[in-house]
Amino acid sequence: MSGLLHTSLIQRSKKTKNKLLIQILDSTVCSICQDYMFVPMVTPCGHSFCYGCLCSWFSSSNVDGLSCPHCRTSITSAPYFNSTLKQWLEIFLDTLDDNDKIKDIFKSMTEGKEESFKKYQKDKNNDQLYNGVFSETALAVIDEDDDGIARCSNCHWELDPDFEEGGNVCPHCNTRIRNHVTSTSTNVRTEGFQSSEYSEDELEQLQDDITRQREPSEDSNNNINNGNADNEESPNRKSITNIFDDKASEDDEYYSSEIDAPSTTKFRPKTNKFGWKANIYKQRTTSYNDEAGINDELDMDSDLADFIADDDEIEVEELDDNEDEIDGIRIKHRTPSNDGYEVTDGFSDDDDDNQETLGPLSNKEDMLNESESHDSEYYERNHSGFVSGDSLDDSAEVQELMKRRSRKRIIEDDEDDEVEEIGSKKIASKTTTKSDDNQDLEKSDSDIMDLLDGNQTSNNSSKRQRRYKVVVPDSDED
Amino acid sequence: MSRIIKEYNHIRKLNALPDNMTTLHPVSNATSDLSNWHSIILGPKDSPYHNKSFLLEIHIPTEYPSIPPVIKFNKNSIPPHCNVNFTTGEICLNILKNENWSPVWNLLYSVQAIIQLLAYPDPSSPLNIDLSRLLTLKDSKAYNSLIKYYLYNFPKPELICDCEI
Repeated sequence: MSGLLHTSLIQRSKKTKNKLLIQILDSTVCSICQDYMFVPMVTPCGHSFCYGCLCSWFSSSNVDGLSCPHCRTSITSAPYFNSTLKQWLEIFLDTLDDNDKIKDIFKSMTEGKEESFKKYQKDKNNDQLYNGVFSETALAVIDEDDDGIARCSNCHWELDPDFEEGGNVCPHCNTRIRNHVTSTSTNVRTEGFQSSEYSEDELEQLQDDITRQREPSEDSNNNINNGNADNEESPNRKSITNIFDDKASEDDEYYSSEIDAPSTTKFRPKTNKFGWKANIYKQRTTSYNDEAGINDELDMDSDLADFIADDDEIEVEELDDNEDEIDGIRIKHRTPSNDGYEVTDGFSDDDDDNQETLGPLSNKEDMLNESESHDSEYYERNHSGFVSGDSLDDSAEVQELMKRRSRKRIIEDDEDDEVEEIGSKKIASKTTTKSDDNQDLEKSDSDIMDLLDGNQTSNNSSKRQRRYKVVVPDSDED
Repeated sequence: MSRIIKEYNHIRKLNALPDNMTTLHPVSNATSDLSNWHSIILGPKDSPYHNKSFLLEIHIPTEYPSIPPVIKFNKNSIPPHCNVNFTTGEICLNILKNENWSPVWNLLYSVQAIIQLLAYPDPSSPLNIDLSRLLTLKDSKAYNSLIKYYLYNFPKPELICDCEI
């Protein structure tokens, strides 16, 4: 304990020492009450104040959140007890206490201060420091790596972006939010939603969706839309479509790799799934971005053309089957999705759809790699997994929902027609190629394929029926 | 209120008030009432208010220092200024607003801030629209000339001291 400072201090004159001592004593003075700090508390930014002064400052503090009285830095965690300052003051008091004349004054001064220290300890034990301003309030936190949305630190509920106006209270747990954060990524998204990127029709549609979305009661919103409250903001549409774009590129890769697949048996269920995915994607893009949807369709067309030119008849035929099934599945699948769309938001639902499609896909991929000898029963099960008639039973409800969304439907129906057209074209090409390349069928697994075909057609017919169940009332309106 | 007593003692002990501050003292002579203060400030150098003095009326609320002191110009010595209401003497200064005030600041600091405001007007939150217009148009010549014109017949500092206090 004899550093350079120690030795140089001893050598200094009395005047310098006095000056230093006064400065040290000054540092034990609270800048709010201008009195000695008997309960010094140090803020996260390093400034010390009396406990009592901070209490009154935090309670009188404005809605803008808590800030340091000295540097105005936002205070998010409770200031801690500064024991060093307390020690300094006690050393001064102990040393200067030996004078009898001022002993009484000292006593009266310290007595009052003892009270404040007792109050601090009582509050600390009751976890009520600063009148509970820190223990009973929550912070608005943003995880930039996650979603960049301000959330309540207490319940992780998403905070209203305008929560400053809403009285600074978490909508879920009603805890007071004591700080202010601006959700940066929300801002980015707001900027991202530029009218120039959308055509007039799309903008109209977006506006429609936004207003429709805001209509439903909050309860239903909360029930169905857990954690998707960010979708209440229109700009998210853009980010979602971006996600789809990524998905699309994945799909394309997936698709092209599948073209090279040697075994038709292996290939079949995969194309099926792909077709489904591609169609869902197409549906989405037409909802949000007509141009993108058309482009995608063109891509698909060229892919299909490659198919017809390169591969044998069986694959084409299967693809046709898939296409039909896809329609069936798509319609069926769209119904619950619309259901959700009405209540909450189509984008979140699409997200769910996406997961659903991805989930079984990966499983089946594994299964396929295991063996090539799947029999017809496997595929039957496979399809029944995708199509459940239950959702079609509430077609009346669906019909009503469709009525309300008739304008959107028109666009999608156009899309339907296009798909059907493609399908019929494929069927035509199939019949021609069938007669030409019949001999190609004489392969080792041709027996299996025949079986498959049989099952396939029966499946298809039932699915077509189901499909029309949904589509017919819709087209009646139009 | 104990805080304002400490400030009073501190101001009394000061050898000299800060620049451009002529006086700063409570209105009543009795030390028991420290809620109302008067201060005479001088227009800072390099500003159109140079060589003119103005009387400030300061009210210390009971919640002080949790809330800021209320400071305005005396009605007889309101300077033409873009952040000062020319009829009431009200001053628009952000640190004297509740949301920007900090208990660390004291009376001396607040009066110094007003002296600073004379030299550096802020046209973004004006109480005198005409003058702020000139500032936003960056016509400082017109601004300074207009102020000097208004201040031409302004009472002398000595007169303010004599008649107001």
